[in-house]
Amino acid sequence: MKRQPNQLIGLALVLLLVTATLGFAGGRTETAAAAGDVIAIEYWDENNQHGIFDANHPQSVAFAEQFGIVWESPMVSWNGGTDYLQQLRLRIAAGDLPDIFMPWGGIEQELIDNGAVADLTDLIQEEMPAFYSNVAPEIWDFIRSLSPDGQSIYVLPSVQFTPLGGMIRGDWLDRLGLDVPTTVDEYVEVLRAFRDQDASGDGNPNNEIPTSGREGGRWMDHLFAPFGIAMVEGFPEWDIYDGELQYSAVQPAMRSAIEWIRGLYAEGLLDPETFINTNQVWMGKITGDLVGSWYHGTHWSPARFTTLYNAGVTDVRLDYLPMLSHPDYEGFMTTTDYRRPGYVFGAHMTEEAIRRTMRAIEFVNDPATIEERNIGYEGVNFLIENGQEVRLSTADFLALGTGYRPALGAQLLSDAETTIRTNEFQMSLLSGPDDPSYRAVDNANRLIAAYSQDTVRSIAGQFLPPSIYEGYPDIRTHRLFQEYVARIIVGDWEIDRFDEFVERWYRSGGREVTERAQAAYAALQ
Amino acid sequence: MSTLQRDSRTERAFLLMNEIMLGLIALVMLYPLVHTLAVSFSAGPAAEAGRVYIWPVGFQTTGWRFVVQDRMLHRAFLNSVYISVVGVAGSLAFTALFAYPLSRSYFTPRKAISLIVVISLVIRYPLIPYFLSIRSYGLMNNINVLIYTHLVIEFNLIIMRTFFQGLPDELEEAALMEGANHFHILTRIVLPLSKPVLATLALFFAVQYWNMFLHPLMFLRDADLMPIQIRLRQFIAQSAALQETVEAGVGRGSAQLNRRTIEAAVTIFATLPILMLYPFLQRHFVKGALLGSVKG
Repeated sequence: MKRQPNQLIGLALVLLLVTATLGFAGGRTETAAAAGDVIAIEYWDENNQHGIFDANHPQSVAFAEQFGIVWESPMVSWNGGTDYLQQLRLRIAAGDLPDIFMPWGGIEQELIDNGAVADLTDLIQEEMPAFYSNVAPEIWDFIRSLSPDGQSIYVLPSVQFTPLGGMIRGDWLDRLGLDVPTTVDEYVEVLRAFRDQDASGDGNPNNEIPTSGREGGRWMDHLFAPFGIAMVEGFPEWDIYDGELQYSAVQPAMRSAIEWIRGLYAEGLLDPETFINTNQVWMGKITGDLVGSWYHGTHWSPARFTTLYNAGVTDVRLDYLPMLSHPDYEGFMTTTDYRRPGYVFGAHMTEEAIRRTMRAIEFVNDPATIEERNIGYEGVNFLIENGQEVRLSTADFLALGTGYRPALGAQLLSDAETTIRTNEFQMSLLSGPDDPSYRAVDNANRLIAAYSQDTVRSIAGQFLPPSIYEGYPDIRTHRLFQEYVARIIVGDWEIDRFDEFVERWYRSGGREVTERAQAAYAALQ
Repeated sequence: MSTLQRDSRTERAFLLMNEIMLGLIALVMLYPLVHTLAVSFSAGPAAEAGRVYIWPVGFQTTGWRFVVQDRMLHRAFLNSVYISVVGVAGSLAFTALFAYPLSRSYFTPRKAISLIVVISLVIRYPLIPYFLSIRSYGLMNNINVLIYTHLVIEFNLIIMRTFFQGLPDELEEAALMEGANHFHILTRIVLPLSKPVLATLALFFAVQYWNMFLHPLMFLRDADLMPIQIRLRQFIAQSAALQETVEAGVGRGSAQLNRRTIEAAVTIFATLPILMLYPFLQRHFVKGALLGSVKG
């Protein structure tokens, strides 16, 4: 009789017993840094998907010395915030909150109301003076409005500088002898020239896409801005229209904007695939030297620049496309100073743990420490090889294969100046204008500087709580707007159907949401 | 005669249609794999622009170099091999030990136990009590938690029980007459006759252990304990984030770095081992899955 299955079972049981007893690599890794007076701080945010921060991370080791804390940030799946929220809720229900974490989906209000997060009011000015003074008073007012007494601070806000703006290919303009357009009419002329001539200089006058956007009518805000539409990354926003807070998508100006864009589409000036472009395809067209102008983060442009350069477009130059003026409308580029709740501290933390963590967060957000932060940490930002300092980029860090996250974490605050200074620091590490990377960052700095001079306005609706959408998920996701904007622009539907959209939007919950938004706005005032 | 000819002609046409249809379906299944493989060996800009289909464009191996260099990926690979090998062996052993008594008609509580199994198959445990229980057993941050929680899976248990039920009772009676005990009957008679179902379930379990994602996220903290799927996800998230950083344009590795090719290479790397199991188990697999399913 064969004995194999018997042996198999025996082997399995023995293996299981042995591993259970020994605990295969189980248990936390203890390090010298985690010992003694150092406090381990577990933190969670959207970046936790990018890698791991544990006690052995070079920056954790440095922070242990500097602040007496160790950042510990396990991998948390993000998945558009869904997985993150699910796991966070699990930890909340288990009564085992991470020490500091980014609240998501409006969860901060629930946590504050239930006393699950720490009151930071008495500590913040003491431990985070620079952060406190660099965040605008109206943002602090909003943060205070989240507390039960309206006076306390439970949340550190995220106030990141996000220079989202229009860009246009300067090298294409040069090739055609054109200037950067400043009005909608000039812009149309430039787009026509891109369409009709060989702007990219590849010998084919027919492959240029004058301008392009992404599915859902997203990432083409530069086409809506001239009409005074409040819009962030393609999502219509709340702003003051006719003296009242209203949803920008149902304004007459939106009708005019859509009508104009419909004209661009019909003329072949807007990418015919705009409404089916995924992020990847859209990016591929831009870096494939096919798109003349687009809307995106000007601070993210170096990646586009170097990809184009490496693909052989050595004269590439990105110019800033200013907000285009319109004879009938007062346009503006939308921004929101307040991005989202940054961090809350678990109520279980000791005061000492909170103070030390605050000092670390102050350090990573204080404009005065920017040089020190830019120099960074050995093993994170540079290596010493043969006595020479070798700078590391994010890409190098990935290549090191440690699985660690490169960034400082907990960055909540930035502005045009610190962004430009950080870029200049990057440039100072490079050989000079002959280096494409140097030119890419220099180009980005010019874009950022131009953006900060442009007509950019913070909208009135930036502090609205997500609770205004309760019971109306479709209104929150702008589903109806996206359907109509796509069908009208591509010519499936006549522009008159816009009125039907407005009526349907109000009927399907828009009226209720508008009332809630106005009440919330009035309460904040 | 003529009827026979017509029949065989129709039959041939039918077979041909079948082959064409199945062939097409197989191609549809195969395409993503071939495409990903082609992307992993392509130049960054071509991959980014979506110009790669089934053959690499601008052949290069940068993506694979990252796979070779990444220490964490190797560690994660070993973790996955560990949980898969020990997990499959443990799962088969425990499932067999559970299924055997359930398949014997003279084991009185078998109906009640089977009912409990079926109920737990239909009604899933709520996540939070589950998390709290596992935590209270002290299994947080212990890689074996991934194995312990999957030792017996209801569906697989039912398949194995059904297969055992199909074995003739006479064999067992004869063995009992010869003085064998139940453990001997299970290990020397039942299991040797159950190779098809063992192979099938081994494959099911292997796929389950290899693809594990949520459990490690919930119960593990240390980077060194994470299995390959987590590292794969992290790789993809990290390379996506790279796209938007200023540093993406600066630095030593940046010119060759491309998220699409890295992602493709890591995806193939993480998928290949489990794919390689299929040919070895396929013969048993078809038989086992069928036997388990038709007999109630």
